[in-house]
Amino acid sequence: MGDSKLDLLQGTLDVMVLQTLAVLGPQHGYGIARRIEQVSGEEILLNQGTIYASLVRLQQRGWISAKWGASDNNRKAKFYSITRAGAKQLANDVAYWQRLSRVMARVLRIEQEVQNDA
Amino acid sequence: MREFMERFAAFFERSGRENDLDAEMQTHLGFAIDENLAAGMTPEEARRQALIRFGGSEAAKELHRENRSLSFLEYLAQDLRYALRMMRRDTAFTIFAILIIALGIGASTTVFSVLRTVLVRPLPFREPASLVWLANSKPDEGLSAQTMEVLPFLALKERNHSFSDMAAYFAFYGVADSQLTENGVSERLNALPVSQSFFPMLGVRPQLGHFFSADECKWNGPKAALLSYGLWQRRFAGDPHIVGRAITLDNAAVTVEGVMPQSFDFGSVFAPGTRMDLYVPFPLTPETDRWGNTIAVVGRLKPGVPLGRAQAEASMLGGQISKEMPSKNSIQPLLSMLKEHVSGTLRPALMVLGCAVGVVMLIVCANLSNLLLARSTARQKELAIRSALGAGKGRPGTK
Repeated sequence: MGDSKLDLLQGTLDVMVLQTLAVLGPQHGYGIARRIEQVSGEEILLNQGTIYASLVRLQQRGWISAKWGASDNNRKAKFYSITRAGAKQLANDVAYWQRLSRVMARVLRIEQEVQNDA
Repeated sequence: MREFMERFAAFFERSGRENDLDAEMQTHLGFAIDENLAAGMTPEEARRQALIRFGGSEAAKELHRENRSLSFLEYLAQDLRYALRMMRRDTAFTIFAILIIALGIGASTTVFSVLRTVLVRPLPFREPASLVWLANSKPDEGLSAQTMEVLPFLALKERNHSFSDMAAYFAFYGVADSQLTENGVSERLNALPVSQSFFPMLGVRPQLGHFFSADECKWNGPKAALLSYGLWQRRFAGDPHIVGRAITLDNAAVTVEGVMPQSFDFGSVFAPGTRMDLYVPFPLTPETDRWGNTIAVVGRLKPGVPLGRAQAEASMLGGQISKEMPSKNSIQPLLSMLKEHVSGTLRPALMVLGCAVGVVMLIVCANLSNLLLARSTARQKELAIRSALGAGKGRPGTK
């Protein structure tokens, strides 16, 4: 059932959530989901429900905190904000992803050159 | 660690968190519908689109739960509830399963407790490792061949240098030969005649009172008895003032000198399966000597004396005594450690029994797994539905 793919998605989703909260400040689940969809240029089609699994995971690791509050249009919603530990984690994750994507890009380019030569 | 604690806590406030999650998801849909409405959709379409974007809400909840709590604990609780439901539904199967397991376990525990008592546990006496069983000549033959006459025994006890003490009991005690009459009610009991030093040598102390006096161990001395703990409880209601009282034994007044402790069980060591109710003095005198080979002998080795040396000395003394007392039966003491003597004859039988019970337990397991297999074929359809509904790979297996 493509477990490995799901894992990768989870990992990425956590970083996206942390990043969103770091940039926008306290947000509710829907806000985070929409924001990620918009920023990604609607390129990833997020099952919005999965965001809640990510939120609870982050919360349990102490990287975000949650509080019930009222939204702009007066709906009761749970607002999440990033904690200090979360910010630190985010910095680590960002460094990791940047490194990984750089390496991936480099490796793929080499592969292509080899193919072109052949 | 923190995560684990959080998850652990979450497991116990499941319903609270579950409501929280429901509310949160409702809010989410609310936002989504609002936005879709604002974009000009019909209310129905707005709701439909919102739900599509959200994805399967049950799947999302399940994912949430997995991340929130200790999923294995939740699954365990689920499986337990499920097992209880199935047990109620299929009562016959349940009863049968419980019955076989109970039988199997019952049989094995019984046998292993016997094994433990006889083979593993040390004898319930002081320094049991120095206690020796002194058979006369051939230990494999009848009781008469194992026992001695009184006078040769006294001579052996007198002359040897290997034993710190030797004591004897009357091996031909009659089963249910003593009649106790108490408040007009008679009861047949097992009474064991023992020599004066028998209990002190074993290192057993009476729980109440004291052992026999030298007077009581004389021929026709004052009649005395020690009660077993069981008899004391059963017939005398654990009377703490029993010592010194006279009871009627075989129509004669006998003074109770004391009560043996609960832990002392003559039968478990010397005569498996026998229950001793009373102990009476056995006089080591010319009168009892005339009875022939009657006494079974136990000795305590002096510290540091090996069994072999004691055997050599006893054999030598045996020959000497036999020569000096030509009118008596000859004695050829044959020594063995008391522990070996006790478990020796039983060991192979008990081993076989232990293995048999092990096999029974295996059969029980095999039977049960057969039953379960038969059931699992009956449940194939159910399991197919479960996996179609999205049960994880490992989950149906636990049922």
